Amino acid sequence: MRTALLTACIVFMAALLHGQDAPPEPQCNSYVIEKTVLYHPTAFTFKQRACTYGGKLISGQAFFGPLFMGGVAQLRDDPPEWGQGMKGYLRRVGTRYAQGTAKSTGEFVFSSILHENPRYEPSRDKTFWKRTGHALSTVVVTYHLGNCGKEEVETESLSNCPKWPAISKMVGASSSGLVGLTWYPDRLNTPGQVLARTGSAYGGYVASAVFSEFQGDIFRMFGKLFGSDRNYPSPKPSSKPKPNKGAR
Amino acid sequence: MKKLVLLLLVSLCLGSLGGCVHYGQFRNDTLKKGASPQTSPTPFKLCNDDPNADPAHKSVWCPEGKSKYYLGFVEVDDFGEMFDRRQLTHVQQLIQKAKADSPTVDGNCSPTHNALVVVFIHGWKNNASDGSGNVWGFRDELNDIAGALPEVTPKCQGQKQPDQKEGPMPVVGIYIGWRGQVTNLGLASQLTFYNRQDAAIRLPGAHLTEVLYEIMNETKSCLGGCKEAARPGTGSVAVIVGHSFGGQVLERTMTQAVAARVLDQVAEKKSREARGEKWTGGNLPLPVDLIVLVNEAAPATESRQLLDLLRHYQFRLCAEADPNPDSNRCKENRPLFLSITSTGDWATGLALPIAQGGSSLIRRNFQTYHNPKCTDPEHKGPNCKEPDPKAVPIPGQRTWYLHSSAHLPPLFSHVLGPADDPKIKQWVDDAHQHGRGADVHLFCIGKDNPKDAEECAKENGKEYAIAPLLDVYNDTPYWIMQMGTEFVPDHSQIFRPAFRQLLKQFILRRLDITQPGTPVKPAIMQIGPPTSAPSQ
Repeated sequence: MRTALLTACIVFMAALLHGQDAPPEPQCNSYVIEKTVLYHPTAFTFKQRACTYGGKLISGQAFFGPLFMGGVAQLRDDPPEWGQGMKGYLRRVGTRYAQGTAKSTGEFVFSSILHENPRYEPSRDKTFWKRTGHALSTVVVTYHLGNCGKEEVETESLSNCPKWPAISKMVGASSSGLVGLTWYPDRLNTPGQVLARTGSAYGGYVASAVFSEFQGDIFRMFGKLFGSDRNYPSPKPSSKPKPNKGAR
Repeated sequence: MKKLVLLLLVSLCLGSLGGCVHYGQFRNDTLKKGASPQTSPTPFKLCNDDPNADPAHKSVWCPEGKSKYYLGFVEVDDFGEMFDRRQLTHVQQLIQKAKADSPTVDGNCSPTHNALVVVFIHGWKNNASDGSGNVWGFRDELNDIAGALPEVTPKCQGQKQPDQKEGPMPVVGIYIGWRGQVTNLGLASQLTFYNRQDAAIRLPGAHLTEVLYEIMNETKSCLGGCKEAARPGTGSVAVIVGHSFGGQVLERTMTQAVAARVLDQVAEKKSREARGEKWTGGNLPLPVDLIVLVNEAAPATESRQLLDLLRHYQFRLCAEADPNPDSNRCKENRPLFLSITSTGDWATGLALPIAQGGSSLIRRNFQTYHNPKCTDPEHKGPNCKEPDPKAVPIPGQRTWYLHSSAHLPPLFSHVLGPADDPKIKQWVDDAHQHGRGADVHLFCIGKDNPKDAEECAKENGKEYAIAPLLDVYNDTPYWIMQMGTEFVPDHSQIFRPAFRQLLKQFILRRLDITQPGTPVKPAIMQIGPPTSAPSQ
């Protein structure tokens, strides 16, 4: 009951946050946020972080994930104390949504306070393993935007910003692991179980980073299956590559 | 338990209502700060800095301070009707003002009063409000274009007329707003695909055609009474861009108008030839320089009929006509439509075919194309024995319905890629060997107007090539190609410097607007005899 009410309350509040009329100052504008994160990450404001946070709470991913994972848990009857039927399913879905919310909240609060980089920085390497290694490293260390050189303010590169542990992600994962203490059955509230839930949340960050790194390749692969690049016209074999001589 | 579910559903419904987007006009100049429309009798004045004007509702903007562009909004409702005709009148006045303020000059340093007018039709999940990402992206784009244009008058120092103005060519942006977004809720907004696609199909009508044509006509019209022989203002550049569903809106709005103009010219050619006169082409009777469809979220069935028509009448647009007067080909081609999609656009590459696949299940009336000379659809090709991809690139109409044009490689007309890519090099070489060298275009991304590839590389730029594909189905002025993620990384992020530089290659390629002289050379039409074997 408490889980359901909490879920409904968060949904309602988040909807209000996004349902306001267009603001004259476009701080929360999707393009402005995207541009700031991409070109001027050091200028990323608290309000913009809050807008991104609000968006995360009501995104498709925020709902579809719990709906799907709640269904899986229902099939596995995990935990059996919550029973079956709609009541059991809603409890499982609510639990996962609340865990996701706690994760996002912890990450939002600490990344704001500590001025951590909000954007995933893709690898500049080409090899699979180096790119995977880069993706994994981003969940452990991140750029600290509070102490970059002045020249970084106007550039896309963050190379002069110091790196430090990704504390906000660690806090986010821990929040997700700990929040269930209020309603999980006692037998699932042991330190080991909490650690397992924290690890699972942290695994979400790992999966997200790897997906961000390879999403272009993944979609290109699926795109080919659905018709892109099909029957791509091949150059005639008559010519060999020569120096270009087209008009400029 | 039932009460709990009911409570949850009611909460969700109320929460969803909170995420609804206002339906109606966003840009209303009668709405002032802290005043209702009725208590605001101040008459509208173009570029008048009314201190009470509400920036969130202002429909017309003029250059001021850091913003170097003119911007106007025209909004249509869910049926394509203009909310307020005055918006169109205001943007027409805005174009005239920009041209009047223009410092452009001709070869004799006489004022030509030309302007660059860019019309943008947004796509899904956007509208004309300040909350829309596209509004701010478009503003940034206009400011960057205006900032990148060099001053045009310094070369006329000493020959300047007393009232001659200084500065770069003015840039005017016209934002066409429609209800692309019905909810702000992330989850719910994903579910509005079919609903907004229906709207994009419904919008094109007399009003939207009127809006686009009036803007284009105003752009190409004479300034004032047109008493001067130089016809000031007529060399202005008009470009229309549609993104995502906005591409579909634009394509549906323009297709029939373009087809009508082409057929008028075909009739004129027939009539002259019947009288024993020679039809020599002439300039395109369409007041637009380029129609751009970026990451268009529309099935290729939208483009199929126009492509077929252009092919049937061998309609071509030339930047430079063939020196042989009997030829109906061009020495250098130029596009009328440019449909270009990012290779990283999974929304139209993957999600659109899935969505179209869903709706195709209830449509069982797809036909199969074949060469009509053959008696049986199973018999294909020029000899009715083998497939003929040049005449029938994709036999199944269902395939055209599932994918967007720029995701169907058999419809590609050009390739675009790094000039040092072996595949691109081969196309470039083939074009040169087959007399299409003038259609090959090399350009530098990262550095404007370098002398050669060496200077481009020295300035941390990268050289790219656009090359025509030879012996393909699409040899029309409806250019279709894909671009790499370095230009546009995905479906939405179109307002980027690299893409702006790419578009410049198509629009201002042969036009050196930094030099005195008429900046726009009109396209030359060529029409051949109708093909005897249409592709269906």
